[in-house]
Amino acid sequence: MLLLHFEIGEGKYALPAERVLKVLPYIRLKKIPRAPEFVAGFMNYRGRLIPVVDLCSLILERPCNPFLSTRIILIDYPLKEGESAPLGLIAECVTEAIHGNTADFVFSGIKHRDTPFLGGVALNEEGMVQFVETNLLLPGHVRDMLFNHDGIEA
Amino acid sequence: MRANFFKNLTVKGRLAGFVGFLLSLLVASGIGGLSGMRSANHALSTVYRHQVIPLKNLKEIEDLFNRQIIATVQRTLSGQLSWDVARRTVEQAREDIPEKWKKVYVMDVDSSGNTFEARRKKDLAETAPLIKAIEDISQKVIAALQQKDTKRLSVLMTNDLLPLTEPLGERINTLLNDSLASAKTEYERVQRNYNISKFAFIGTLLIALAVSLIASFMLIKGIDDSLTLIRKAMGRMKEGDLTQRIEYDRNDEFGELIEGFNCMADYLSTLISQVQKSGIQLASSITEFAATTKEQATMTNEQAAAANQIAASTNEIAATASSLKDTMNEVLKVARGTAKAAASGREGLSSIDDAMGRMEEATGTIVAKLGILSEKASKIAGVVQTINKVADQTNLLSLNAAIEAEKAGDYGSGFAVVATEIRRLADQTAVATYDIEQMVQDVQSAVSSGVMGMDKFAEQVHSSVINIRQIGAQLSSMINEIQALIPQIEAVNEGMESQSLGAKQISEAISHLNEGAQKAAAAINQTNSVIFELNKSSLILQDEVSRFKVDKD
Repeated sequence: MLLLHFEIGEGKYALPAERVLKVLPYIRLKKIPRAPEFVAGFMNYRGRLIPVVDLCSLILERPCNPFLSTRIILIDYPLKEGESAPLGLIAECVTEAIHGNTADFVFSGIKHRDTPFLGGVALNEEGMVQFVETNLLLPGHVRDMLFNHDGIEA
Repeated sequence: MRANFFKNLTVKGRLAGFVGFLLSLLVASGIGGLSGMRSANHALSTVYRHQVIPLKNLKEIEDLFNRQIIATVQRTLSGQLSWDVARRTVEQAREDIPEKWKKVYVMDVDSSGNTFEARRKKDLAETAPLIKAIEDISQKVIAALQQKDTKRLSVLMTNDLLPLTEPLGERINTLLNDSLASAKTEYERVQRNYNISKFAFIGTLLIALAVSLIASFMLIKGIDDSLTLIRKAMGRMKEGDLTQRIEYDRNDEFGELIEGFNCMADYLSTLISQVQKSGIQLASSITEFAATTKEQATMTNEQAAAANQIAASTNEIAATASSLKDTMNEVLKVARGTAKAAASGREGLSSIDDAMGRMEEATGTIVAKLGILSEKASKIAGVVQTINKVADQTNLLSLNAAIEAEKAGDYGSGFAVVATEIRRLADQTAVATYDIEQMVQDVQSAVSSGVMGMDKFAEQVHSSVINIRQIGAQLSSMINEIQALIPQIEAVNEGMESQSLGAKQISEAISHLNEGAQKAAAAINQTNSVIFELNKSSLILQDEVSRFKVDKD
């Protein structure tokens, strides 16, 4: 399968390309007041407002550097009952898409309560790459805040 | 009331009262004694005149009758005596007897009429006819004698004369006994009076003695009490206690004395307290004076030291002035040399100025060329950035293409290879542009630092030129100044000489001043010792005065 590689700080990560809708350049975002620090804001994608999460903030608790290679990965984020919605992820050095095997990623033995989305680690020529489980990215209350439009309408 | 009376009585009054009382007692006892003596004397004279003299006359009457009449008659009868002589003798006796009787009768004159006197009166009255009979018979005897009638004479003798002898003797004896009894009564009366007088006198004496003892005791006690009061107060005052006042409630001479004493104590107390205050003031004044004098001494010493220092400094100044004079001579020489050197230096400086001007121009050219270089480098950087962006876009496109191809599955596998190839090319381009970018940045930084360095250099050159010009101007003004300085230095030289002379004079003046200061110091030391003595005297005075205790107000 194809894996989209990116970096958060010094660390290398990967997520499956099948979940990726589009890789976009880093553009200006609309900030969401009173949202958690790692929610970078809304982006306008072809007339739709899509929430964007800063992975650097989520993992390292600091915003991503505004490099040229810092890009927004637009993924298809699964919601309840088979529904899904697009979600933007800001990451650094989003330049490579490499074929790999899921079996290469082995469980690291560390499971942190705040980062349930960090999966197994694979070793290749360039070093260690950690798998990111996009389904588990957001904590429940943030997911509800960003996607539960029923509550707002009620 | 009575106590007040006694209290208000003066000592003189008391003494006068006492002496007056004694004198009155004396006078009373004298009068009593005198009257007693008078009554005794009266009694004695009464006895004498009324008892003793009549008794004598009675005895003489008896004698006259017995001896001159009876004896004469007997002797005539016996013929022993002549008729004439006998007659004369009897006539004499007849004349004498009434005379004597009269004197006997005197005893009746002062009679006081008591029973005894009445009895005596009766006796006298009984005796009077007997005396009369004697006179009558004497007359008859005389007649018989004249007639020388013996017979009749002897009849008379036997019948009349001899019978009369016995009654006469009896009468006289009775009268004698009366008189003795009277005298005894008188004696007893006098004795009684004497006893009464004696008791009265002794009683008076005893009363006087007792009164004088008590009065003396009281007087002496009063005086002694007052004197003790005064003596005690005086004693305490002698020990220096001036707070002492005597309380005295009598209005006598001691009261005045004590009032005077209290007044004196008041005055003394006031005086002593004033003296004490004055002593304290004196002491503090002396202390201040001493402090002032010490300060003065210190100041004088400091002055002397300062004068010494000044003298030393002046000497140094004199020495320095003379050495300065020498130095100034040197300076004069050097100034002349400097003027010459400066003139040649000014020429050298003008050639440096030219060189610097040319250097400035060259620097300007270099800076301009460097500016052009920098501009070109910036353009290259812009191009490199554009290439970089293109490479980035290419990478993005190929990435998305690869993802799309993956999603397309086997249909997209060929496209995926192309996309990967494109991405590789883009990456290489990016790496290459990155290198170029680095190089251009190096060039740009080198150029900018070169420009900066050249700017700095140009600035330095420029300021150097300005400096050199200024130095040139300064040199020429310096030369002028040095040339103008030379006569001034000569003037300074002369000034130095006069200064040296002046410093010597000052030195002499200061040594005089120093002597004066030393004399002043000596005088102050003397004053100090005088103050010390004064202080000692003041302390002694205070000590003396402090012996006196006065009321503090």
